[in-house]
Amino acid sequence: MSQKILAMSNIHKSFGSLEVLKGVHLNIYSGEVMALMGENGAGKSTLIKILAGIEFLNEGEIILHDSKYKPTSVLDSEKQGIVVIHQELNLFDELNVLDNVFFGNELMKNALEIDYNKQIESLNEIFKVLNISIPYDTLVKDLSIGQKQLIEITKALRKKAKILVMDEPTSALSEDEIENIFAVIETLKKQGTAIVYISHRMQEIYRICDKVTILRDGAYFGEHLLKDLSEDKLIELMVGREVTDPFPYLKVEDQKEWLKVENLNSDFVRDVSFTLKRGEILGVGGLMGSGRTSLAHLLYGTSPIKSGSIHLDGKKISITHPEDALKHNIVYVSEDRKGNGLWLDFSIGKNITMSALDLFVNKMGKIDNLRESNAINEFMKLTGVKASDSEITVSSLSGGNQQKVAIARALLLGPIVLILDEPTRGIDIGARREIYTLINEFKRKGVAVILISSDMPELLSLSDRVLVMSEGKMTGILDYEEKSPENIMKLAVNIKE
Amino acid sequence: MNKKILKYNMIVLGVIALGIIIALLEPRFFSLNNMLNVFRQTSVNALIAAGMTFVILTGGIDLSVGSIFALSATIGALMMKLGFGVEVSVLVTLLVGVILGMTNGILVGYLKLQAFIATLITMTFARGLTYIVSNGIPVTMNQSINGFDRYSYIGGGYFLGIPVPVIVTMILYAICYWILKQTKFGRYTYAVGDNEKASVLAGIKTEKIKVVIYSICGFTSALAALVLTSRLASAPPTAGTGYELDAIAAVVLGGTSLNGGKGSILKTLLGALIISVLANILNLLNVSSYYQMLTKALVILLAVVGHKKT
Repeated sequence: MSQKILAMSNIHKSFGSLEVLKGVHLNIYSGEVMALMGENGAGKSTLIKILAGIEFLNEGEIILHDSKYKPTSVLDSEKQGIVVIHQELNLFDELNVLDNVFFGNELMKNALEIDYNKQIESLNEIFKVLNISIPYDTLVKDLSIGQKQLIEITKALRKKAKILVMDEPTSALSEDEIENIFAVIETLKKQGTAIVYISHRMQEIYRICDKVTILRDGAYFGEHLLKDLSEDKLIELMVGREVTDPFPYLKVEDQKEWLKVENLNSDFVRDVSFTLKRGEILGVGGLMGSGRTSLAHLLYGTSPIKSGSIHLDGKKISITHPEDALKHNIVYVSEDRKGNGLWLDFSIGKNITMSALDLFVNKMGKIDNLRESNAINEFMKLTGVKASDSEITVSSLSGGNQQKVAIARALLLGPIVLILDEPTRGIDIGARREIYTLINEFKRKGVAVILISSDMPELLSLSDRVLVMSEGKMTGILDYEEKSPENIMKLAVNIKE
Repeated sequence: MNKKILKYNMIVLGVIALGIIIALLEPRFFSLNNMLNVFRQTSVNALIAAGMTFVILTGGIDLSVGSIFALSATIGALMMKLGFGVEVSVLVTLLVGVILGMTNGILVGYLKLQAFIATLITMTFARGLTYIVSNGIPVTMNQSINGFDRYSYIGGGYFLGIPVPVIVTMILYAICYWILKQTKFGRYTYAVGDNEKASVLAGIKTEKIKVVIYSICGFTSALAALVLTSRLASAPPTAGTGYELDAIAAVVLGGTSLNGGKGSILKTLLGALIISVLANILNLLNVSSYYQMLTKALVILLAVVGHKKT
C-alpha cells in the first residue's frame, strides 16, 4: 500500500576537490519511515541539504511524483511539501507557540491585521490530530526540548508536509518525550506522510522505522528492510571491515604512567576514568556531540569540573584555567582552527609563539626578536609548515598548513600531555600523513597523546587504546587487540547487550 | 602589492594632501607659531586617543573618557586649591583616572559587561561625581596658590621652544608604540582583539589584560585633563564633554578596526592631527563652527569608506 513518492538517484556532490557524495540513492515512501544511517561525515547532512534545496547536486536526479524535481531554495522545497526539521531547532524563544507556528505564513484578516482567531482554530485542528495539548500562548522559551520538537512538527504539518525529514529528533529528549514523538510519528504514518529519520540510536531505528538507507564515506550501501537486517550486520555495513588508509602503528615500550583521571563529571560529561602513559596514544571516539570535546575542555580548564579527580605523575592537580593546564604541560589543540585555534589576521610567526612568549621576554616584558624568530623558524621546519616566510598571514594558508601552525604552537610549549581534537579535519591526504608522522614523533619522545577523532582509520591505526563516549558518558575503553570499527560503533551507539 | 601600501599609508597620504591644500588656501598656517599652536591643541585629543587605541585594539570601546577627564581635572584642581602642592595634585589627578579606568576594566573583563554599557555606566557615574565634588561650579586657580607656576608649566610652558604638552604627547606615543610593538603585553592586546576565544585557550588571562587596557585609557584621559587644566587654570564640571567622540574619531581615522586586532597607534596620532589641523584651517578661513562640524563628519566618512574600499 505504500508508494514511492520521491527517488533521489545516483547523487554526486563535491566541495572543491573533496567528493562527499559518490552516487547515492534515497527512496522515500508514503506512510513509511526511512532511516538514514551512517557515521559522522558519511554524507547524510549533505544529502538532506540537497533534498531541501540548501545545496545543489553536481550529478544525478530527483524524481518527485513521477516528475523531475530540482529545488532551488528551502521555500521551493517546502512548496513541494518537503520539510526538514534540523537538529538545531529553528524557533523564536521570545515568541509564543502560535506566533512560531504561523511565522512567515500568517493568516490575515486584512492587509495589516493578523486573524488570531483563525490561527488558533487552525492550530487546534493540528494539535487535535497529533494529540498535543500545549496552550497556544506559551512562550517557546518556557517549553521543554521535547515540546519544542512537537512545535516543529506542527509547523511542518501547517506547511502541508508530505515528506518530513527529522534529523536526530530524540538526541536531547527524555524517555517520556521520546514516546510522545513516536506517537506523533505513528499518527503521521497512518495519514500517509513519508518520513526520513536520521538517528544513531539502534533501538529507535528498529522500533519506528521500516527501511534503512546506509551511507559510508559518501558511498551508497544499500536500502534494506529493517526486519531482515540484524544490528550487527547494520553496523558492519555502516563502518565497513577494512581500514582504507592504514598508517603504521608505533609501539613505545615501558613507559611511565603519567595521567590518571578518575570519575570525572561535569554538566556535559559523565563517569570518565582512564589512565595514560607517556609515549602512549589514547584515541577518543564517539559520535558528534557525544562529549569528546567537552572532555578535552575539562582536562584543559576551560569548563568546570563537578566531581572527580585528575592525577599527574601520582600527584593530584587542580585545573581551572588553561594557564593551570599549561603549567602542568597539558596542551590542547582545538578542533576549530578558525574559531578558537588561531589568530587568522596574524602572521605564522606570531601564531606559533603566542602561548610561549614567556620564553622570549625580559623582565620588562620586551620580546627578544632574534630569539623569537629563531624559534619560529625551528618549529616551522619541525612541523613542516609550507610558506615562503614566517611573516605570511595565517588566513592565507591551506587548512593543512594552518593545522601545522596550530600544532607548532603547542609543541613550542613542550607538552607532556597533548590533546589533539580532530587534528586532520578538512585536511587533504598528503598533509594528513605528515601530521600522523608528527604525532608518532611526539609519541617516540614520550609525549602522552589524547587523540579525539571522528576519522575511524585514523583512530584505529594511531591509537594504543580507544576510549569511546556516547551521549556524554564514557561507555568503554578498547584495548589494542579489541579495537575495531564494529566495537567502537557498538559503544558509540551504546547498545546494551 | 601597491594596493597594500596604499591601504597601510592612506592616513599619511591624507595628511600630505591636507598639507598641500592648506598651503594653497592659507599659507599663514605654516607660521611656526600657528604650527606649534596646532600641535598643542592636538595634544589633548591625542593623549586620550592613545588610550582609546588600546581599548579599541582589544575590540572594546570607552565612552567614559570625557567624564574621567572632568573628574580627574576637578579633583586635581581642588587639591591644588587646598594647597596640597604640585606633586600630590598631579599624582592624585592621574590616580583618579587609573581607578576609573580600572573600574571599566573590571566591569568588562570580570563581570563580562559589554564595553559600551560598562563605560556608559562609568561615564554617567563620574560625571555625576564631578558635579557633586565641584558643587556644579568651575574650580579655578590663581597665582596665589602654592606651586601655581610650576603647575601651569605642565600645560602652558615651553621646553627648548616646544610646548610642554607636545613633548608629553610625543613621549607617551613613543612609550605606547614600544609597548604595542615590542612587548608581550602589546602582543596580547592585539591577540585578544583578533580572537578572544583563541587567546583564552592559549592561556592568556584576558580579564587581566582588559583591566590593564582600560586603566591605561583612564590614565591617558587624566593626563590630558592635567595638561588642559593646568593651562587654563580652571576645571569646569562640564569639561571633556564629547571628548570620547573626538578620540574615537582619531582612532578610526588612523585606520584601527573597531572589531579589534588591527591598527597602529602612530596612525592614531596622525588621525588626531588631521582633526585639529582641519579645525585650525577652517578657523583661519573664517568658516563658522557649524560648518566645521559638517566638514569633520565628511572627512571621517571619507576616511572610513576609503579604508573599507582598499
